[in-house]
Amino acid sequence: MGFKEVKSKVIACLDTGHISHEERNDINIKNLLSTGVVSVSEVAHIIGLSKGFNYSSSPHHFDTTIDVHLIKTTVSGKIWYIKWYVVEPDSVFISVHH
Amino acid sequence: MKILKVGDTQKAACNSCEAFTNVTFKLRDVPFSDASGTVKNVLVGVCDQCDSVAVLPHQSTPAVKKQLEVQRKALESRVPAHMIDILNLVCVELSGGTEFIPGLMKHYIHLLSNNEIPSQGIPKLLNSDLAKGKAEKRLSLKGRFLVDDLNHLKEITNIKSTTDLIKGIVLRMYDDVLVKKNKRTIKKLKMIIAAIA
Repeated sequence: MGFKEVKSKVIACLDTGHISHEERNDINIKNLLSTGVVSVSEVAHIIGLSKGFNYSSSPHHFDTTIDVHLIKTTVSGKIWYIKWYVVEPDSVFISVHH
Repeated sequence: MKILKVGDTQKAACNSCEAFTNVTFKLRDVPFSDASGTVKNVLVGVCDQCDSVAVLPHQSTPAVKKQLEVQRKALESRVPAHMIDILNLVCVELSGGTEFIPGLMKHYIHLLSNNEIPSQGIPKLLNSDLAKGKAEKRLSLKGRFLVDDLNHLKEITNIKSTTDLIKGIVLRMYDDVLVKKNKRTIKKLKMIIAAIA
């Protein structure tokens, strides 16, 4: 799946509420989306502004058939780091921070 | 917006099992990763194999946000005017300005709660003459660990009222810093002021 498809898919998940947040037996306070510090529309906006060179992916180390997607992009002077994987029909956010 | 119900299931990465497992959505009390508090009775995806919390559905994020806001909310107490004078004098004694009162109080409360400064004797101080007086001044404190620290101190000291506890803590600080001039406590508090100055 290319960057444009990945981007469309995650934005569609954000738009339709098909999202959840990875936790490690506690609530990660550094995930700004799961703690409500940033909104779904703000994250969709940041991802929407990103370009192919902001994006990378790697196989998930628990299951190599699942890709972990990473966008590192600068918006309004903040370097955003957004990491997620997709388990249909949802996108599961691992990190959303700056 | 997708809405999950208790008992719904999905696949997710479980970091305890280090595998993608089935999770079932259940209501749980889940702590924050920095141990600053707990979100109670919140819907989370629990690993069917190890019972660890693996995922938080987005519908639960308002409950998370609300709990964080509660923890950050300012704690307001009305105390007799001389309590603020005591805090001003303590700050001057510790070589800081009076602007350090909230930070100093917050850290002193944390030290008491963690028994780094013994909290015994606080209830007795509430019977002293200095504990009396019309509550005419406001003391505002804010901090993510403050509510937990005060709740813990309430249990230790058996003081139910937050205002009484705050008064007792001010009097304990007065006793430590201005009366007994406890060197160990003064050293700790000076370090705090140096850190926040």
